Amino acid sequence: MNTDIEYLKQLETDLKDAAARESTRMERATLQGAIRKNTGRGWTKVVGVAAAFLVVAGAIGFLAQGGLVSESATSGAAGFAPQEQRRPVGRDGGGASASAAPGPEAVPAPATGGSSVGFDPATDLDDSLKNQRETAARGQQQDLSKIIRDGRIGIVVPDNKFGDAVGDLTFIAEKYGGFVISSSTNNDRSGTFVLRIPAKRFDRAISDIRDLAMHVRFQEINGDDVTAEFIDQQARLRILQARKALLFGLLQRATTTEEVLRMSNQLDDVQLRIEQIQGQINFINDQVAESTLRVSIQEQNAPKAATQTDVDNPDLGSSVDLAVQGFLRIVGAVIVGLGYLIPLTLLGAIVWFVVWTVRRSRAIS
Amino acid sequence: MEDQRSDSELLTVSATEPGAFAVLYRRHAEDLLRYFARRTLDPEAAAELTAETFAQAFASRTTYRDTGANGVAWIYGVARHQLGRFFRSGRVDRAARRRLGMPERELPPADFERIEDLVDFAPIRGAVAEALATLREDHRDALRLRVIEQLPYPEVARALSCTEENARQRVSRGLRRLALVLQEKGLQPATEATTEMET
Repeated sequence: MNTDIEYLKQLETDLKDAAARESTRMERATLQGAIRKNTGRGWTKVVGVAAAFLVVAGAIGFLAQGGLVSESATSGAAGFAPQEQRRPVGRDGGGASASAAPGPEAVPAPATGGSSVGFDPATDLDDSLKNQRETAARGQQQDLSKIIRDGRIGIVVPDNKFGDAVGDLTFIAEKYGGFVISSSTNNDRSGTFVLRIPAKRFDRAISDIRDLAMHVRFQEINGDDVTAEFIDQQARLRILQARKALLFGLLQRATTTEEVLRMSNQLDDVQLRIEQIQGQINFINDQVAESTLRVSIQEQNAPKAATQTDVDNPDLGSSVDLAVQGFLRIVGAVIVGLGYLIPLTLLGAIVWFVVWTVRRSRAIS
Repeated sequence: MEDQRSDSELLTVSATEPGAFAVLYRRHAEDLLRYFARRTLDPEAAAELTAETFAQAFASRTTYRDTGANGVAWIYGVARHQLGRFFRSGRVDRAARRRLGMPERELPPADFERIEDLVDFAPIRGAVAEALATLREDHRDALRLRVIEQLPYPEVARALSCTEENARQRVSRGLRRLALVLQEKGLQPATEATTEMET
């Protein structure tokens, strides 16, 4: 370019620099493309075959286990709750009869050896506790089962009938000797209510609430078996009461000041433990005697209220549990499927090898 | 040795061989600068428009399709687009230069006069004198001394009792305003030479 304009010369330099950068970028892109082309396909095939293998294994495992859906369906609406602690029960509560046998982890194994003359509260307590529990287990025919029941139900009522439904709900609670603990409403068109109902009338109350509905959006009833815990606490209480009587007798016969002080301290400790256990027993009795029922009522065309989410949907922790369980089920299905698939694959490989060897030997001969 | 390939061939090849675009630039840079200078009457704006046009053309070179017409017509299409935006917004776009990582450069003082030489003021001198009345007094004085009386910048600065740089700035802004006024009056300070270039 024959020009004496400095700006144009500088611009030419800038454009050449930009062209050089562009050339470098294009070369790099071409190189990366070639690398991807050469290496990518092999890995893609390997990953694809492995993924297909796992999918087939999962499908086989799924079929072998009789289907994940049927399995999860039997776990009830609250399928994410651990089976040992939360046992879904039917509307009639028929599934709530619980085994009263206490779990092995509830109480430590009893120490060997008989009772000693000296005062050893731990050993005595364990031995006596074991006897009490065995006695309780033998007496299962009695109504010893302690089930804490709670549930939730969501119903839809016709438009402009929300107020009537709330009145009916309060009436139902009072009719069965219960009451409304808390309530929250949204624009007088939807709301959530927490009821405490005597456990014996829990199912009838739910039945009446269902009768209020145009249709039921969801219903979930859970039973938490606390029988083992209740029996343990009762046994501990009896033992401590016996110990209290013993200590009181010893205190009466104490002759020295030192003995009196020691017995008094031990008596105070035992009394404190008795009160703690009694409190726990009372709490269990209260929980068993009355059930908690969360009721969500909404009119047919009511807008969704943000405050209903805690009743209508499982909470975040439950969702995580559900996700983990789902993941573990799929992994389990894949492992089961691999159990079928790997021997079949090996068998196929052996057959293929034999056929290949025979054909080869024939070709050579 | 001069590259014998046509403008269209160079544009097509530059999609895969970016260096070929430099040949195109060397062929047409000064003509394009003249094209802008005659339309804007502003050396700074003309230089910037030239830079932005080539940057935009380089960035979009892969979209060029050879339809049989001269390849330079495609570049003048980009130039017309840039000029239209300049007249609408009153400033030169810098997007393409930024995208390519090109630095923003100031117009060297010596280039002002060189670019003004590219503009042939003779055919429009009368119209300029009329349009001058619409300008600010300091801009008008600067333009009168520089464009009509054709004094060099040192003398213009002395007459206006300001620095030479300040005189250049007044002339530049006055010319920009003047170009807009002439544009509104339907007067185009372009010559037949640039019309040929566009086609």
